[in-house]
Amino acid sequence: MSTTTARRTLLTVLLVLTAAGCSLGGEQSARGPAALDVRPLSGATASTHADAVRLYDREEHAVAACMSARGQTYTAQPRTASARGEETNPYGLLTVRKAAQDGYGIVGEYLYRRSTPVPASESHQASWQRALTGTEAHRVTLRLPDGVNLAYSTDGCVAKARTELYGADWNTVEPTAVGLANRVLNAVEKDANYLSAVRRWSSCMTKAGHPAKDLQAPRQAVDSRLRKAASDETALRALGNDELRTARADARCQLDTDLSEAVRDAQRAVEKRLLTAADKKTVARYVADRRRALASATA
Amino acid sequence: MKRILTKAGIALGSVALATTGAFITAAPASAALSDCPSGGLCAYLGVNGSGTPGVVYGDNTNLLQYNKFNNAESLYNNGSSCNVRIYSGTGYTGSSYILAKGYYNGSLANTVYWHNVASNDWCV
Repeated sequence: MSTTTARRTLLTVLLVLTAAGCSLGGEQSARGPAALDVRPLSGATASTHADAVRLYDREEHAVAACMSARGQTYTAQPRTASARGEETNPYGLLTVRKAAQDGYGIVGEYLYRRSTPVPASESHQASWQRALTGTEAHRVTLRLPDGVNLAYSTDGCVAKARTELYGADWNTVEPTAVGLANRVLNAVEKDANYLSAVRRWSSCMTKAGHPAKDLQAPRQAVDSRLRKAASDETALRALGNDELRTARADARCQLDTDLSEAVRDAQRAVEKRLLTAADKKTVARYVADRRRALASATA
Repeated sequence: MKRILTKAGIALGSVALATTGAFITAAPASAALSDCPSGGLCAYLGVNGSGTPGVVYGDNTNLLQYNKFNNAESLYNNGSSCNVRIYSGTGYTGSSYILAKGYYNGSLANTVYWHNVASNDWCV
């Protein structure tokens, strides 16, 4: 391959991977059947990228207003995260289309981060930090349904901004609803029918020349090569191509073994078994709070 | 004043918040959290921020390559400008939650994140 051709190929691969994290939306493939985008709680705690950006901006401005009222200057930060956080399926389910465009999003995310770094934190006076994140005297710990202990101070502008935007109960409703979604996900990943489906998928991957014992394995294999490849554009291109190839085989195997249907069925059974009436009420409150915040953000 | 509030917090801690199912208690202060540099997500090999933290300032699709995240028992977001989403899977998969600015997890025991903080995404 000539140097010019190699550069063009690299550019094409990199552009596709970089753009994918910015543009993938709710996917309905016109090329063959699409896998189901199964998410816990019927996707109640999931979000589109556009909604996440809108709410993030509102929350940042609420933090800035709170800090200003306390005589402190806070500069609202732009949301730098790509769309991959919202668009990556938590179970690792892939569609053929997404796999072909972005692979697992690993090299693409690396390229995105290279062009859009996280803003550097500045150092501030202790009084500024106390105004932002609160004081120890007002620190509380929430124990969430998935076992996570989350501690924060109720008197900081961060906590205040969240209640101002979403409602007085948001600092408990949001982490609890997310904890419920995680509890469901963790239970699905231990479900016998789910594990049996993963074994079928694993056999398919072996036959396709990409042996993997679980859905994390191919991602970790790509990621383990990233640090070394990052310093060499040719190696990065090769890794990007390998990632796309593996992810396409992965998505195809998921389709062939009906993995997303197995996840859907396992999740349905788990939710029926685990979720109480009070849990469902919490999720409903989460959805209502979020909907209200979104409505005010677009008003 | 601090003692009174702590007592109030403990009293509240004996009752689950009926509406959400979350339990709330007053959290103990941890001197070790002050070892976390401003702007960093810190992972500790012990609970309650004990030990010297491992720190990341940027996004990572694979934190498991870093010993302190691969073996994390507590976490602290000392970011002054961004919240951070934590994942139990690499490449933003698995369980996840947002650790807002100044929030922390005193213990990851009995969670999927115990010795397994696998990826992170800032400014979400």
